[in-house]
Amino acid sequence: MDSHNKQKLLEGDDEVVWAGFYALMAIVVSVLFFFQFSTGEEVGLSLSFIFLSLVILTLKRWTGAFLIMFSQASLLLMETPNSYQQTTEFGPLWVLLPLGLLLAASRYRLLQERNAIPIAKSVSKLTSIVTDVNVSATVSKNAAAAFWHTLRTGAVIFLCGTAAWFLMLFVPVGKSTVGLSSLREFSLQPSGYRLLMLGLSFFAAYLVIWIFVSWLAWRRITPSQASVFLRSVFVNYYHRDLRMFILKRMKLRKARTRTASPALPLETQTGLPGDI
Amino acid sequence: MTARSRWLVLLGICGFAIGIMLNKHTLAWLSLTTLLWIFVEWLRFYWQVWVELPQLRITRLINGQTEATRFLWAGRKVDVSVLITSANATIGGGIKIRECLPENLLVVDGSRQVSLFSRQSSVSFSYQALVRGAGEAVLPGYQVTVEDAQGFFAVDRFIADEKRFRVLPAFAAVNESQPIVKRLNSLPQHGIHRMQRAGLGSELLELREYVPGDPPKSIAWKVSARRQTLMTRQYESEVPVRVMLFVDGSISARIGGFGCRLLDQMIYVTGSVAKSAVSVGDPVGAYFFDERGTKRIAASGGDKGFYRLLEGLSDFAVNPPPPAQRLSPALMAAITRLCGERFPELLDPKVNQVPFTWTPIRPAKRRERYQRSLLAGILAEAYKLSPTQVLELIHDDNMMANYAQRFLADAGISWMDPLVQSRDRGFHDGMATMEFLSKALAESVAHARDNEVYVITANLLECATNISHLLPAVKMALARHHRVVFIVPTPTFRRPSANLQSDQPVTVESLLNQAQDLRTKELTSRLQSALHRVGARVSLSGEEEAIRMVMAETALARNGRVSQAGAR
Amino acid sequence: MMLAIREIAGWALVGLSLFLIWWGIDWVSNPADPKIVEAGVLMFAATAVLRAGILLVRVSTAARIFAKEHAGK
Repeated sequence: MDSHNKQKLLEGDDEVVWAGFYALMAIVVSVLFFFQFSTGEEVGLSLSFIFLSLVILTLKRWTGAFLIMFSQASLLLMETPNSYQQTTEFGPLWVLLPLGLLLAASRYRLLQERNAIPIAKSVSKLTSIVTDVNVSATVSKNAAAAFWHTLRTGAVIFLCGTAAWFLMLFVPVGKSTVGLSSLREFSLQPSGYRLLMLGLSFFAAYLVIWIFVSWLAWRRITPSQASVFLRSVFVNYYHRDLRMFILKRMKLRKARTRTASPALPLETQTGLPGDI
Repeated sequence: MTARSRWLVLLGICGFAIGIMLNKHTLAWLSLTTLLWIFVEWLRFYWQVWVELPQLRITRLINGQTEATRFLWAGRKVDVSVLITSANATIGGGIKIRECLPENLLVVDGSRQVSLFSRQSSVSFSYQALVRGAGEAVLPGYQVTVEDAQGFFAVDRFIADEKRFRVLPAFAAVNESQPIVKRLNSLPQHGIHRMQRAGLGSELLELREYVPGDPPKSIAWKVSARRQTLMTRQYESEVPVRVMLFVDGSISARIGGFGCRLLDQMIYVTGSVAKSAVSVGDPVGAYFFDERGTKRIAASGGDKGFYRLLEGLSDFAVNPPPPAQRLSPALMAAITRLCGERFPELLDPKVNQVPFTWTPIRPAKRRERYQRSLLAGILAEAYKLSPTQVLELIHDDNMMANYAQRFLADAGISWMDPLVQSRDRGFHDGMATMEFLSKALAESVAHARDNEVYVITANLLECATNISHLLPAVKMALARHHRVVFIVPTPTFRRPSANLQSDQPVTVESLLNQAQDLRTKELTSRLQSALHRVGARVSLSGEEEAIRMVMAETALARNGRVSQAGAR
Repeated sequence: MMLAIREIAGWALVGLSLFLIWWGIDWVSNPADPKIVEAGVLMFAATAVLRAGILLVRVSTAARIFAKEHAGK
């Protein structure tokens, strides 16, 4: 199979098929995630239904933020405070599944917005391709490649999750107030202090990366961007003085045009002496 | 950064803070992962925008050629194909590339944009566009939208790849316009016409009684014997005839979309008349007149002369700077849209910084002022204005309107609302047209020899009741033995018919069309009666079938015969 | 020359601001005697210095790009 057909199978041309794939992926991940709530209690059941309705809503109209918010709210209510740095076996699932779902739903919404194809049609097209005898050989031959491609797309989340886990190791443990006695002067709890520390550290790290990346990007601006930037900076510096000067001149011009011929051409009106 | 990522960042920060504060490890982990994910996507997006995007190589083929032909024909289709590659070997996914088209081109087949969902080595798209009207067509470049896979970040960029084309006018090939008056005894030389005035040609004009001084060899002996009196043969004269075309380019003729302007109608007729005249060997010249003055193209024959004339018509069809207008919200909206398409990178507040002011206080006004400041920055860059003039643009409505109009006109926007507000200009424009035409006629008569055919295409319907302003110039031309034919464009682009066709249903539109037809017919008859009185012919242009009639009219004027001219 | 001086000054200000931020974090991170209010003031000052430094760097970079373009013409 040549690279073009492979590309087509992966993502390229038939975006409708891939929209169906991501919709299915979102459904599968949401079913997996569904079991996280199914504790058998009434609260868990109602939470599950709210979650499912949110998933359906996200596929219809992007509300990924609500999905994350819902997951966070669930963790806030369900997680015991003492589980700090004591990762349970479901911990990674609680991190990866909501974000995997967000990835699939976002990708589906993006493709759906481009092609405006209903979900049922996308899924049916995908299934027709998979079940078609003529193409199934090709599909099976390259299914691994396609699956790998999807995994690679999702691997970013996994890597981010791992990196976050490592970062969390640096968070001071427990509620110990040893050595923090002076914090009482500020009515600051140890957890608040930890947050302050972490926030500042992350902010500093982000700042360094941001400065570097922004500088690299800024070096690549076009000459017209550079020209506009320099002019706007100049205008910003002397804005007050220049504005005063301009407004005064406009007033003078108005007075002059009142006395002069009303048919004065616009060019001569704007080209008064004193143009900088 | 789109609203999606903003919300997620907000939730991530809040979740992380709450997780740390309340010792909820998984909550903090989930929130931190979300933040990191968005951060990684941001880095990848930045790489794509600032490193990969400048590596794009775009090749445009016009009618299969990379070298631009530099001219197109109005009314014809042009095939455009675009190939996009990258010096970086592959082009990243999430890119949408769209060719920006001028108003003068209309896509009739294919697509002028392509979206890349995944990384590819090259991508192409092709489309077919119809060239609407004569003048100029500028393909400015491509609008590129870069978006990450999840829709967290999106940015617009413009890749300039300007190709400027002269659009030559369309014309009808009318060859059989010569009326068959009489079989020819001898074929005149190419470019020489039988003029129905007494002369030394080979065709018989009339027989008249002998007058002392007539050459004896012209005495018709047989007829003289029959009538018992000496009769003399009078021959037609054979003369070269120069066709002088007058084209009106005043404001009223230029208002409208490309291909739908009265000027386009007139240029089509003029081109057709010129083609016909050149095909019979007549030299053709032209006078173009508008508010800017009169431009003359000296008469010349042959294909070279014809193409020179077409080029002149094409240049004349390009709209000049539009008449000054008041600054309106619609004008600002139009310029904002155009800047969003052509200069998206200059609308970035990081690049185009807006000075902070306390006033205006109302949020809507503040937004308006902010937008205007951004636009002022772009206009200043486009026209190389000084920082002082940037501030003037922000505060002076007249100056802003002036530059906004110029900007829109330079981008190839047609003279329609909001660039030129289409209020009722009829009478005043008509008076101006008559004044310009009178001047052009007087100048032409001063340059002319005898026996020229003046084909005047001008928007004179609106001033049919005041045509007396034009009559002195027309009389002067006629007095110098020139033939004068007026061709008047119709605003409806069709010849008026007074009767409502019975097979069509009576609708509001049909009744309005009929009312317009009646008005046009009434104005035409007034114009005809006024101009007939002095000896000029009047015809209407408008549809392709009318060209043939116009040609017949011109041919009659050329050979000096009298016919019942008028609106058909 | 002026562009180079401006750019160096900009980077110096950026460096100074990062140092101030690090200093602020250091003040907060001392559990025995955390100077939280003082660190807040320092952070605020560091942000202002960073802003000024970034602006200087940007202006000099933009000016160099613009000058290069004009020299090319």
